[in-house]
Parts: sequence; structure tokens; C-alpha cells
Amino acid sequence: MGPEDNYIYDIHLKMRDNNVLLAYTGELDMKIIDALITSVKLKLKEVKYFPRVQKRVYGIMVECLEAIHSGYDITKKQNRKINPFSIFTLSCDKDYYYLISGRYIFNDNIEFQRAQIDKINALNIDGKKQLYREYVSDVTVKEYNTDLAMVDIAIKSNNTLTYEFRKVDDTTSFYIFQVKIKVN
Amino acid sequence: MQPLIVVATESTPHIIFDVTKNVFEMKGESRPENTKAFYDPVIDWVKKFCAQTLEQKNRTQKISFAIFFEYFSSSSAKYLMNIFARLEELHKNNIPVEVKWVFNDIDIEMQEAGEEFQKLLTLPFKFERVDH
Repeated sequence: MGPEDNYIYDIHLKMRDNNVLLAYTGELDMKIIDALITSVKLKLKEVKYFPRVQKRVYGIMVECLEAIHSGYDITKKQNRKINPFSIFTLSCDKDYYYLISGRYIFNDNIEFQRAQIDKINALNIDGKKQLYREYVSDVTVKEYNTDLAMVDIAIKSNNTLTYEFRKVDDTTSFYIFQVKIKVN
Repeated sequence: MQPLIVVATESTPHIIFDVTKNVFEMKGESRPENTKAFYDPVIDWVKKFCAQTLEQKNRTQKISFAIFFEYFSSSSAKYLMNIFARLEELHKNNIPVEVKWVFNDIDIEMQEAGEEFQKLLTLPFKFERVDH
């Protein structure tokens, strides 16, 4: 073991200090998503917060993971290749749960993603519920569409959805998406 | 009409739609890996059931669709709405039909989810709270 291996300890310290309940990095397929969901179900049972909050965290996590998966499905459908590695963490402090996800995105898809979130963030809770009703009433199936998932996340979290796009190169960026859920 | 019976998994609900027994139930968790593949046969069954029931016209036995979810994903919500929209057609044709929305007493989220569907439909909803 040499100093180059210190990164493991650094990761451990960061995870400990941020009270990370679960972290995953790698390619996300539905089997891994299922395993993460099962793991979070168990973790949430260990944390003695209100069942309503746990239910919200669980629901938001499912939607976030499916949204990441859906993002990669779209690129596959477009016959485009992108780095499939993602990151997902669930952490908490005394005030909030934090769900943070990260994935690669093509730069030409950024504006769509940004507009989708900004539209939701601009609404108050009644506006968000109205938008949810509009989306859920549209029973035509639109594959890989995440509009309903994003507004569902916003309603359940009752917080602004935050995001950032970090440019990787001329074609791709890393898309970081964060949701905060108050613990009570 | 053949009953539709689907065994529950960790991520998909138990379903039993049986016309002969007048039992219509969906229970459990709904976050299928492929929502379309899971729900397409369910929608097909409901579509045929509604067409057959509309043909009968003079049905007096109440149709009660019992929905008891612990969780359903947003993609499942669209399919549930599709099912309810079809049942609403029966209601509009004076066929006695309702959704019995069952939820655990501590599960306010699920109660609210049912109320959201109710707001979008004229189909009668009956809410039933059960001890968890």
C-alpha cells in the first residue's frame, strides 16, 4: 500500500462526514437499481424518522434511479454512445435527506433537461400538482419521458430541484442532480 | 372471460381480475422494470372487460376495483389512470362501478395519491383505511 491508496481513506472520511447511508458508482441496470432500492428500504427502517418522510425518500429515490436509467435508454435508442457510469448517493443530516445523482449527458441534451427542471422549479406547490395532473392524464405512452417523474420528485420533496452541468468535453457533460427532503 | 391473475414480485403488484367471482384487485408495489410490458396485458384485459360489460347494458351487480398499493412509480400512475379512464366509461353508461382505494392508516401519501386520481375523474372513489 502506498500514498496513492489514500484515496480510499479520503472517500471513507467524506462519506462518514456526510453521513452517507448509501453510495453507488458504476453502470446502472435494472438489477442494480432493484438491489439499491432493496438496500435503501432496509436502511430507512434503521433511521428513526417519520414513516411519511421515509416513504417520500423511497419514492424519490425510485424516480431518480429510473430517470438515470431512462436517460441512458434514450441515448441507446438514438444509437449514440456515452460513458454509462453513474453515481448515486443517499445521505442525511439533522435537517434533510439528500439524494444526489450524477450521469453523463450529451451537451445537445442539456437545454431540454434544464428547461424541464426550470419549468417545475418556477411553480408553487399548487402549480406543480396541476402539472402532475396534466401529465398523468395524458395516457398516451411516451417512452423514456421523465416529465411526470420530475414533477413527482418536486412535489414529494417540496423543495427546489438543484442541478449542475460540468463540461467534460465538446460533446458531453456530467449532469449532477440533487433533491433535498426535510426530515420532519 | 378468462380471469387475469398476476403473481406479485418485489417490484410488481399482485393482480386478480375475475369476472365470474366479481373480484378485481391490485395489491403491492408497482415499479416494473418495463412498465409498458407489464401493464399492456392488464390494459388489454380491462379494455375487453369494459367492452363486454357495455354490451350487457343491464348489469346491476356492482363492480369494485380494489387498489391497495404500498408504492407505485410515476410511470405506473399513467397506466392506472388509463385503467380508471376506461372504468369511467362504464360509470358514464350507468353501470355501477367504483374504485376502492385502500391504504395503510399511516400512509397519508397513498391516501393523497388516490385523492389526486379522484380529482381527475367522475368515477366514484371509496377510500378505505386499514391498520398497518
